[in-house]
Formats: sequence, C-alpha cells, structure tokens
Amino acid sequence: MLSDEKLVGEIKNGNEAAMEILVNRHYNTVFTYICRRIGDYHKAYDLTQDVFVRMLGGLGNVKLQEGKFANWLLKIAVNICRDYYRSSTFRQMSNSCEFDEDAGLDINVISLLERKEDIQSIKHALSLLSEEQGEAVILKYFHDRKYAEIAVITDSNESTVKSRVRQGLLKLKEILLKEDNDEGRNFQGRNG
Amino acid sequence: MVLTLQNITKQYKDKLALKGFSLEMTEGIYGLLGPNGAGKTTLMRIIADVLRPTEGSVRVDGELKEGMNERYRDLLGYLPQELGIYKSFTAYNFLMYIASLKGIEKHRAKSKAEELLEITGLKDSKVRLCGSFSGGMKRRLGIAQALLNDPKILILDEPTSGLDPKERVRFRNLISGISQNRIVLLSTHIVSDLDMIAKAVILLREGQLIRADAGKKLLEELDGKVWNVKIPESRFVEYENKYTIGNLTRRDGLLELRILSDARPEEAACPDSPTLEDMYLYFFKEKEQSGQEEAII
Amino acid sequence: MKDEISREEMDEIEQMLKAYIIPVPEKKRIDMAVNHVAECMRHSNSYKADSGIFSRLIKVSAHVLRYSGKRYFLVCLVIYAAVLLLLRDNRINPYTPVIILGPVPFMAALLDIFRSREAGMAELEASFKYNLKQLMISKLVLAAFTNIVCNSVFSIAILGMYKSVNPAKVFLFWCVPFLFISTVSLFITMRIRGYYAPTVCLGIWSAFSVYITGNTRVMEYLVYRAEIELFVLGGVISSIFLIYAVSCLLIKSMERGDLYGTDSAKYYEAI
Repeated sequence: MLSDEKLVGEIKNGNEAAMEILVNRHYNTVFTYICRRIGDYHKAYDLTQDVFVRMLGGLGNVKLQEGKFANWLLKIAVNICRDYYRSSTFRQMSNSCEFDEDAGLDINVISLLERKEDIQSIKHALSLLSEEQGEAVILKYFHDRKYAEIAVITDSNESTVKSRVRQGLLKLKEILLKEDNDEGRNFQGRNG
Repeated sequence: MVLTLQNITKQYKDKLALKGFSLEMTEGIYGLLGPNGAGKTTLMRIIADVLRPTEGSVRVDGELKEGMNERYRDLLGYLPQELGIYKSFTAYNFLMYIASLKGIEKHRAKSKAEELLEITGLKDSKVRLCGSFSGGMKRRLGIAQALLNDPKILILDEPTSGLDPKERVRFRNLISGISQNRIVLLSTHIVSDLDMIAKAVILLREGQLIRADAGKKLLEELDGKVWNVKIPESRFVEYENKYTIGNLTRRDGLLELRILSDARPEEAACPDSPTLEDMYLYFFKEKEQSGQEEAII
Repeated sequence: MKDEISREEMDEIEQMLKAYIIPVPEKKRIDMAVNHVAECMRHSNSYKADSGIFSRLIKVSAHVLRYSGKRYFLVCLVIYAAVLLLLRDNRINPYTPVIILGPVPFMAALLDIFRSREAGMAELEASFKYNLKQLMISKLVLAAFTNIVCNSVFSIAILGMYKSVNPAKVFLFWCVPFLFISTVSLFITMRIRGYYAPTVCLGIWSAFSVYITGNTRVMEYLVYRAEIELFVLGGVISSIFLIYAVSCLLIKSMERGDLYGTDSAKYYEAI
C-alpha cells in the first residue's frame, strides 16, 4: 500500500489516479469531522470537497512530516469550518438531522428512532459548545487525536487544548447528563 | 454572480491588518470607506489574488478561489493604489502589453483597447507617451487596463487619490458608467466619491468590518444626531472637547458648527439631515470620543 | 454547577458520544469530489513539483519575445555588428572586444527585467495570469540565450577574420566573464532594490574590462601564457554559481508567491 507521502509525490507529477486513492482514503475522516462540526450532512459534502481543493493548492508549498497527512487535512477542515461559521450568511442550522434511511444501517425501526433522538441530543449539545471547545472535543473523542496533535491542527498550544476539552466536557455533562436525568432514561442501559 | 468573503484575516508579524472580514457581494458598486491603515488595501490585494490571507476563504458562486486557478484571474480587473506605468510606452501600446499579460489574443485586444481609450476619454492621447500624462490621465489609463478583460469583479484601490475635484467628478461618472453587471469594489477615504453611485457602503476600521449596508440605511442610524449650532468663539473649546465637529464656518462674529450629538446640545441648536460626511465622522471618530470619556471617568 | 468532572462522568459522556454515528458518505459524492479535484489538476500547474515548468516557460517566453524580445535582439545584433566592422578597419586586438562584450547583453537585459519593480508595475503585474516571476525567469533565459548566440556568432566571425587566433581562448574569453559576471550581477540585482544596481554593475564591468584589456602586460599573460585549464576551472565554478542562482529563482518563481511577505496562510502551514 502506498503511503500518503508517496501518493502526494505522485500527485505533484500530475497523477490523477494517485489523487483518487488519496481522496478516497481520507474522505471519511474529513467528512465526519465537518459533519459533526457544522451539523449539516448535505453542506458537509460541499465543504469536504473544498478541503480537497485547498489541499491541492497547498501541495506545492507544504512540507509534511511523515505520517501527518491526515492531520494536515484536518487542519484545512478546521479552517474551512471556521470560515463557514464566521461568514456573514451563516445561519444557525436547525437541529434536524437528515439521514438517508437507506444508509445501510441494519437496525429495527424502534432502535432507529431511539438512536435518532440520542443523536439529536448530542448534536444539540455539541452545538452549544464554543467554536474552540467543539473543535477540540470532536478531534479528541471522534478522531482519537492526542492533545499535542489537536494543538497543531487548531493552531494553539497543548495546555489550551486540554482546558478547552475539559470546559467542553463540563458543558456536555451539564447538558447531556441533565437531560438524561430529566427524561429519566438510561443511556447505558440501551446500548447494552 | 456572488463574491463571498469569509473570515478574511491577515496577520503580519507586528500587525493584524484584517480580522475576520466576512461579506457577500453581488453586482453593483460597493464603497469601501475607512481611514488610512484600516486595511482597505490589504483587503483589496487579497481579493486581487496578489496577497494571501492568513485565514479565510474567497468564493465565487460558492466555489473556492483556489480551485478556480486561472479562471479567477480572468474575472478580475485591478487598479492598485500605486500605479507606475512604463514611461516609454504609448497609451495604446501599454494597453496592448497588458492585454497580452492577461492572455487576451491580439485581435480582440486591439478592438478592446480602442474601445476603452474612447470610453476613458484618452482617444486623443492614443499615441502619446505615458510619461507625459497627467495624474488624472494615468488613472483613467489604469481603469482602461483593468477593463481589458471585461472583468466581472473590478477592484479599484483609492482611484481618486491625488486628483483634483474636477477629475474626481469625472472619474465618478466614468465608474458609474462602466459598472453595469459587475461587482465593483471601490476604496476611498473621500466620501463624496461615493455620492449617488454606491449601492452599499462598507465601513472598515482597524481591520474590522464595522458596517456594510446601503448608504440610506446607514444614514438612518444618524437620524437626530446631527445638529447645527451657532456659538460665540469663546465657547469653541468647550464644544471641541465635548462633541465631534463636522464643519465650522465663521459668520457675523459667531461660529456656526455642525456637530454630532446624541442629544440636543442646547436650546438654539437645529437638527439637520445626516450626510455621508457626517456618517464618516460618526463611525470613524467614535473611538476618539469614547477614549475621552474613559479618561474623565 | 460543579467545576469538576469525574472520571466516571467523562467515561459516561464518551460512551454517549459514541452514539453519534455519521452515515457513510455516498460514493457518488466522493466521486464528484475526485472529479472536481482532477479538473483543478488539469487546469493548474501551481501544485506541481517541477514538471510543467518548461511548458509554462515556453508559453511565457513566446509572450516576452513578441513584446520586447525583438527590439532587444536587434539592439544586441547591431552592437556586435558595429564592433565587427570596427575590427575590420583597425588593428585592434581581437580578444579585447570578446572580453568586454562577453557579459554585456545579459547585464543590459537586467535593466529591463527588474524594471517593473521600479516602475511600480510589480503589484499590477502580480495580479495577471502571467505571473511576474515567470516573466522574469523567461526574460533571463532569453537574455542568456541572446548573449550566448551573439557571442558565439561573433567568435566565429573573428575566427574567420583573424587566422592566428586561438579558438579555445576566444570561446573562453567571453564564456567565463559571461558566467561569472552575470551571476554576480544577478545576485546583486536580486538583493539590492534599486534602479541603479544593474547600471552600476554594467559600469563597473565596463571600467574593469576596458582597463585590463588596455593593459598590455595583462593581455599578454592572458593570450599567450595563461593555461586553458585555468579558464575552464573558472568557467566551471561560475557555472555552478549560476545554476544555483537560477534555481533559487526558479523554485520560488513557478508558484504564485506572496508578493508582499512570506507569511504563509495558516491553512497551508505544514504539520
């Protein structure tokens, strides 16, 4: 299997097939980050494409460390999302989560509904975090990045990232655990 | 066509020139107002693709500028603030030279150059050397070169600076005439340049977007805040410290002041309808005034 | 609200978050992205490493030739032709003009190449399709080419006119100064902003070359006693420097650089 760095080298020579492999390899990572970050499944497709367009533009200039390509893509994704949030036409998206019901999840209807509500709560909770907290929490818990890596991806330092994750979790605790208690449902029980 | 600027930020080593500038623009003339050092030129350079932003995205109809490559530059016409022109070129040759740099093939370039020299009133100077041109003529030639590729996005950085009032008016009319079906971004710190022609006014201060709206709407914010008042000279200092003074004339031994004030400054003061000059003063002197209040407290 | 979060609570939240699954992205959307990026690859060269430089250079050179190349060629040819005529009439040491004129076309071109900086056109030209730096490179290549051609033709003409002349020395007498002085002038002009840098270089060279060619002792040494190997060594060293100088320019030039500073965009910053 060709490494990311090798593929990048090929792309720089104009090899479109190499680009196809690279994009396919990392599409999901970028897509899921953006999807969780902005909460809009359809818009996420557009922004993911933008990330790869920007990637192409950056290949000529960037000098990557080995094994850090995915992190660099996430960095681009972070910035693209920030731009999106800070644009003048950004409106708070409704919390409707548009799922394609034929997405291949093989679950019975009740579980699907329950899961949908769980996801609604989490989406809602995440949207209440600050920009930086949201970035840090998503990168830590959905992409398993270390604090040092998150620091580089979000252009800050490690201690700031740690504190943002902590603050984020505190907020999430307040929202999710409180909701949980209010509605008298037991999350842990369901997933068992 | 929609030009979208998202979160445009430019950080230099010692200065943050632009901070999170976001705006959406469609066809029409946009006036970019702000004092020197506000970041106007930085913003225009970024849109003109001469400068790369530290953060932010520029999009045309949703598409990232980076992904458009040469297509983006084909859409642009740029007139920088400092425009030096090779002195040994004639006006016509200069336009042909620029046309080739823009990738316009010779045949079309010839007719375009003729047309633009006509529009900018330089037809008679077609074979004169650029070194002999007046400031106003150079600027008009500058506009002509910007229009060679029939750009959809026209960026003019302080195009009237250094021109006399007559040239200014002429320029304003010229701009108005060529702005159909284009997004025109015109920066200036002289408000009268925009009079009657700007579809919207963008106020930029210390790298940040303060307001962006139709001139009329911005003026509404100043309703009831513009006053004319007559005072004896002895009270001038009192007024100078307390209010922002727009205009000052001496008449019959008294001073006639045009000032900005939230409340009626005194009995004899008359309210007046706000103008663009008042608006400029209001938004760009704002900081000074609040600085003084803090000092008093 | 407590300011603390316990281990258990953290784990609980982590568990909850796991429920937030994103559906797998549709293949057709991924393909759309791939196709779009492929389009970008086809229309642009800026992401490319080294390839594409020559095709771009050719495109830009064609433009340069059309606009300023012709006059430049003509002027150089006229100068060399004039000197050739002079040589025919008088008994001047033929090596003299070879040395003096050696780097002149190239250095003279520098006056034009770095002109746009001075005339205030740099910013405007940077916004065009044809990148300012690409133009500079292509003009430099053209200048070097003109220099080589003029000198070569000149040398051949001299060989024809003067039978006693050493061909190797004729060649080296313009080649080495060209390589060396041109490189030096290029470096100086690149570093020092100022209309006069190339002019000063030209002036210094003129004075220097006229002096040494006027000095009979030096000329005697060069023509009769200096070993060829010395010149070849000088030529090789100069070539290395020249290649270095040009590649510095080349590497930075073919991308769209930031005209006003080296602050890189955060979104391109390396990880």
